Amino acid sequence: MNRFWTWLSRYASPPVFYRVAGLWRPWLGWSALLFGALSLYWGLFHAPEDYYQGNSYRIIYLHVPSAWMSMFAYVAMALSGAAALIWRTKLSELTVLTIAPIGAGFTAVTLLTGMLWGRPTWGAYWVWDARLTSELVLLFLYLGVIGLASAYGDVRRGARAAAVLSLVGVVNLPIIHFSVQWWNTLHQGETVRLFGESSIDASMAWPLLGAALASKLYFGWSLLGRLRLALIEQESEKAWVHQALGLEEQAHA
Amino acid sequence: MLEWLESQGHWGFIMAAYSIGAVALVADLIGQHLRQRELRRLVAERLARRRLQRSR
Repeated sequence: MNRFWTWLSRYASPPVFYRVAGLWRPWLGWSALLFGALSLYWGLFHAPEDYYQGNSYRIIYLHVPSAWMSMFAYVAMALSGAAALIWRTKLSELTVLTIAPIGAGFTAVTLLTGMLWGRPTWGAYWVWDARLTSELVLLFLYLGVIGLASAYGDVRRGARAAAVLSLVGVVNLPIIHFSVQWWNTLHQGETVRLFGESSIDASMAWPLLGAALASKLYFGWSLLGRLRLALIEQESEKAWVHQALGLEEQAHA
Repeated sequence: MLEWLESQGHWGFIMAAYSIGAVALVADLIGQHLRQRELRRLVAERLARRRLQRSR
């Protein structure tokens, strides 16, 4: 256990994290591009038309991975929030602030693409259905975290306040997930199941899983990039930042 | 605008949805790039100012 904490505290050190994140980023970015391009090509042009929804279901390859990521990002933000409140490390505090805009982006894409799917499928862009409404609440939670954090003059205090809100908002996640079971919703029920039989055909499911993987890789790429920038901003007076930006050499040259 | 979109059929909705995704992706890419440039410029300016003060 002690070894784990030693390892974790080593990687939570800003200069080490900045360097390691820089090594990981190209791998995450290029693999996200590869999986994303292949999955979208397969899903848009090779997967068969749906017998009921026609071609409009192809929005699934953007809508569903975004919806999954909107909840995944919230879990990651809440865990970072818990770490920020317990251990008060700079990195965990910055992670809360960094995930919020990415998660808000995924949630906004989910809602907008859902509206574009809803119109040809249900005949309406928006209905106050439990799934749609709880996803909208998720967007407000992300915006609340961003707003609350920026209301403080001190970034680290703002991050801790945002961490509390992120933990409170976790209650919305089971509501989003189980809304289609608890209430009679217009939104379709669970199609892809982690455990048990999925009701989606394999020819449509594989590109969906590929797109989901691409969205996770992209999230990692974006998170590491934004965290690196946040560290530069927070530690701009430190020598390691000057070295990392190549400013030391410039000054001596 | 919505009337035009609806007249395009299913592929109109599909293209509109993926355009939203593409805009979000490009905004993230450009946003990070511009912020990095801005931060680098700010840190470089601050360093240069400090060196100038020291040399005086």
